[in-house]
Amino acid sequence: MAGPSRGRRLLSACAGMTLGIAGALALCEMILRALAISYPQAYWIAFDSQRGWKQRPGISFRWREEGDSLVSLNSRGYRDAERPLAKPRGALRIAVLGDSMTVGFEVPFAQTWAQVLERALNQGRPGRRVEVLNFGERAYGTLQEWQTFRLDAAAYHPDLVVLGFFYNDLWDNSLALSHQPERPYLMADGRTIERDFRDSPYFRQKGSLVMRLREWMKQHSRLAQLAFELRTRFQHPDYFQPARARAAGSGRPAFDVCENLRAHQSGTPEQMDKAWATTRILLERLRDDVARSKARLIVVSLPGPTQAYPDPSVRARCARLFGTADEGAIERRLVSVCGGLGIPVLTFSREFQRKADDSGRCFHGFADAPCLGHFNPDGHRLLGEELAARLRPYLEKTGSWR
Amino acid sequence: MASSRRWRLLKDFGSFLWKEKLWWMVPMALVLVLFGVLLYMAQSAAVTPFIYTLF
Repeated sequence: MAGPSRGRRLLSACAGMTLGIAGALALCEMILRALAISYPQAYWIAFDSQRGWKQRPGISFRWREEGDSLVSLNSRGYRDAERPLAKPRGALRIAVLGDSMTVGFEVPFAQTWAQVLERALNQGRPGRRVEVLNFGERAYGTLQEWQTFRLDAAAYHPDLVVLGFFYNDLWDNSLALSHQPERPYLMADGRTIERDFRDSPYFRQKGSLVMRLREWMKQHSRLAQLAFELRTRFQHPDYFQPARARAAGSGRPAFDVCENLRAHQSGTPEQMDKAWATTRILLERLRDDVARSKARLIVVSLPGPTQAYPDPSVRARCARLFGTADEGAIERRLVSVCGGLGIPVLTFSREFQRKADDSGRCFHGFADAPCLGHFNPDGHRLLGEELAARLRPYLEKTGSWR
Repeated sequence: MASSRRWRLLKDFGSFLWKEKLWWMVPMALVLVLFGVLLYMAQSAAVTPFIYTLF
């Protein structure tokens, strides 16, 4: 009796291999789920027709990209409690706008500077309760923050709007500096959009079946998230630098902080000037919209990692290296721009430097890259407490608290 | 020592598949090995914290 034909054998081998691969992939997915490994950086944002992107509403995830915390986003996509639109009777509302330094994915919610501020302002003060609403969105620039005020924050009737300005917002306000086509930019003349982000390939394809499937996979498959994570790392090979950053015992990074940031903190003087012109217009528009909402605007300059580095010689070296792109230089120009617009600015770099020099502690970064990165819990606490101390007399003086 | 034992195990597993003509299991084993390598590569920490790949 003849055995199965050659074609049949080949077919069954192919079917076996396909099933084998499918089984292996299913097993990999199960392993990732059993080990609770996920890569939320693959799915924490969704397309937004006005701001380019927006944090995905109602999701929760564990953030381990930097630091380690559980992140929950409310039904509007903000890292905040669910808040009613109507202001509670007698409450004073502060709306906080900002980027990743304000959202603070890296630390638990209760440790973010907005929450520290809320607790500090309410401490030992009976009577009018203060609510601090966090409208921070990771990777946003000033245009997106202004849009967030108009589209979301204004509806909550804040009495005070605090804009957390981080030095890289200047880059985020310029397509030439940020090279990020997925968001809107304003021209330096303030009238026209430099490039409509809706023309970007990602946005044009967003309704396509392939893109919808891709987004669905990133939300529901840990393996798809792993693939996205690896793609990101191949695009930015620095990610592959091993976690060798901490020099033994010193708590300081083993790499050169100035050199590490150098590639991302550059731009020609013309590009920088244009970015400042745009930023000025955006701040002006935000100021006017906040005033129309019968609220006050304050800009808070958030200290950066080289500004708060616990070694004055390193700070000086970074300042020389970066020139007009240095965090300190940007802060000084921000103070000047806001001064011209009549917007109060609060700076905290001196407090951070003094505390860093006294204690030798870093207020940015985590174990794998100390001193470099977003605020760590110490940074959030210091900023929240210092800001509360400065805001108290301001709120008394302006009558907001009465 | 432990490393050579691991290699021997892999070699034994390979010859078992070869002898038993379990060809269909080869891609499955390769996928699992590749998965292990990729998982390891995705574990290292980022030291460029202000770069965001969004989509």
